[in-house]
Amino acid sequence: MAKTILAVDDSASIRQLVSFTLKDAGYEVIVAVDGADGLAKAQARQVDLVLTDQNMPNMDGLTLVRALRRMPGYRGSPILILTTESSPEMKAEGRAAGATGWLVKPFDPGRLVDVVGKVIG
Amino acid sequence: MQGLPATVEDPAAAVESLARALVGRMHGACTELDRVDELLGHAIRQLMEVFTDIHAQLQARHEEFTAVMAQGDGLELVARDARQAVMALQFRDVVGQKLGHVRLELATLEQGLTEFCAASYAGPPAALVPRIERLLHGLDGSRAPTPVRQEQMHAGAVDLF
Repeated sequence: MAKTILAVDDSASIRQLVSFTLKDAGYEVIVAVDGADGLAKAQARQVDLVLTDQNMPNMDGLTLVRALRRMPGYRGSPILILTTESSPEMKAEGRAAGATGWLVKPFDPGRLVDVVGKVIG
Repeated sequence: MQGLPATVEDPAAAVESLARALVGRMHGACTELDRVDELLGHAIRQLMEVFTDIHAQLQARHEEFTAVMAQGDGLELVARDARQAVMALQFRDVVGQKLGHVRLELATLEQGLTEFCAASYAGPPAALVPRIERLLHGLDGSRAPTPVRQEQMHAGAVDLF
């Protein structure tokens, strides 16, 4: 059974590109348009990995990570941040929030699949 | 620029005129940035439609396509092109963030100058000094987020914690 990935990004093109990349690699992908939508979808259905943007309306990526880490089902789940933000301070904040990793856009599709494979097990 | 004749007699009024003019120009620059962002978005939406269509066609005719491409290094070349297309299509997002940073800087400056203009002026030109200091203090306090660096635009950095 294919593992499920929740891709959260307010950019429609990024959602599509992430979906193409991960579906082609054999994963089931569900998408959310911002952090609040992502949290609702993660609550509605347990997913195997969350891949989220940082800068989004309604709820940003770090707030989403913190909210997910408070939920029993997501305490140990991999959560990756995929963002154009690259400062060490932001990365440190992501780590402190409980993110599993930090990927800087633009992502290389092959590399994304490798990283996802690594963290999803 | 209106108001400049007052420069000699009333330097404070001249500074305020300058600040008002700058606010107007910055507002114009923000509008232009919004337009650039809109045009970029439109271009990328069109490209995404083409990409989505090609992807769907390849999925629908996967076996046929694989058989044809398996001759020579066709599959490898298509995979390389697809990878480059996926990276190029993220251009909008990366540039959009950079535009956002520039817009934030301009908006901060615009707000500071607007507040500067709104404060009532009374007294000698020296009374301008604390207002200018407040403006500078406000600008110092705002820092744009660190944008993605050039080298990271070629291949996304990955950090696993």
